[in-house]
Amino acid sequence: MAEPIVTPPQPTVRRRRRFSRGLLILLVVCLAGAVSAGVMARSARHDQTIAIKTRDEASSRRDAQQVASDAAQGQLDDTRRSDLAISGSLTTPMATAQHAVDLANQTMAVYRDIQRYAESLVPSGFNDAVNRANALIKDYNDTLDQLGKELDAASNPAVPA
Amino acid sequence: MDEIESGALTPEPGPPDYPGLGYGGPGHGDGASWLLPLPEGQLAVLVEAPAQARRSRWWNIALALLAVAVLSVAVSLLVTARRASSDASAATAQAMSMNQSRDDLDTQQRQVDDRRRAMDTATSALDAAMVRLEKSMTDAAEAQHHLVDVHTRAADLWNAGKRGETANLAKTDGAAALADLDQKTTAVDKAMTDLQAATRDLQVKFDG
Repeated sequence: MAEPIVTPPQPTVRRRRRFSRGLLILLVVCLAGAVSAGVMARSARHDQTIAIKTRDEASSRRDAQQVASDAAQGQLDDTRRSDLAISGSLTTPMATAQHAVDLANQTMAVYRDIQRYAESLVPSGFNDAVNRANALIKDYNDTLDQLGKELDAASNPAVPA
Repeated sequence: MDEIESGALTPEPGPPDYPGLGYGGPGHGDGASWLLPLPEGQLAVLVEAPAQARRSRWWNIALALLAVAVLSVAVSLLVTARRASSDASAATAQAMSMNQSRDDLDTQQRQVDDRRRAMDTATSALDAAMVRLEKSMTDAAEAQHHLVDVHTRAADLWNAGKRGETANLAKTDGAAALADLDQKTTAVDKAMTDLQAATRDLQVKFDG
């Protein structure tokens, strides 16, 4: 019996083998793709975890800053209310103080007259000026008393809520 | 394993589950063939066995299914990666937005604090101006009392007929007391001006 002579495979067999090789190559490619996709997914998940952590931290910091900003705004509002009360309470004392200053300046002018009459020994002018000065002084003292009361009231203004 | 089917080229039907495969020479069936020269001049054909063909077919099917499965896994992983990447991008964008918001809030808080401090400073300045006005008025009142005392003494001297001493007192102590009162009254004027300026400054700070 002769040794068998191996002939090339028939086209169908070759196609099947080629198909098998193709499937194997496709499988390898798919495996490589799957591995790559797995690596990408793992990296993306890692990035996602970091990003979410960063976002949560940023959210916490933002919330804390919001609380601090609200507190600062609350303090400012309190200060504004207090200043508004002070400004309101100072309106009357300021007018009274201005009146007192005007009286002081008028009295000063009369005192200059008194001094001039005293130096020049003019008793009639002296007495007249003293009378005018006394009237001004009385008004001035009354104004100062009124100013003192108003300033006491202004030192503890009622702050609106 | 290959099987040798020798003898005449008699085609035989293939297995029921593999009808395209048959025994025979070139051109018959789908199996691989080996041509064997026989002593009688006939050919022996080595063909692919049905079992091997089935295995090959199942192997191909298994490979295809495995490839499809692996491809599905790859696609699923890609989708997961893309989704995670998208989520990461969204979270990063949110974090940046929150950081920006925090910076804005921080800036706003600094501005609010600066404004409050400015108002506190203006209030303190107003308090100080009021204290200065009160003190200047007290000083002016004392100076005024001193001048009145001098003038009263001058009047007493005049009434006692001591005109020379009256003029002398007026020109010395009287002039000094008047100058002192003039100075104190000027201080009252300045304190009042400062108080008005402090009030205006507080109003400006209040209006912001």
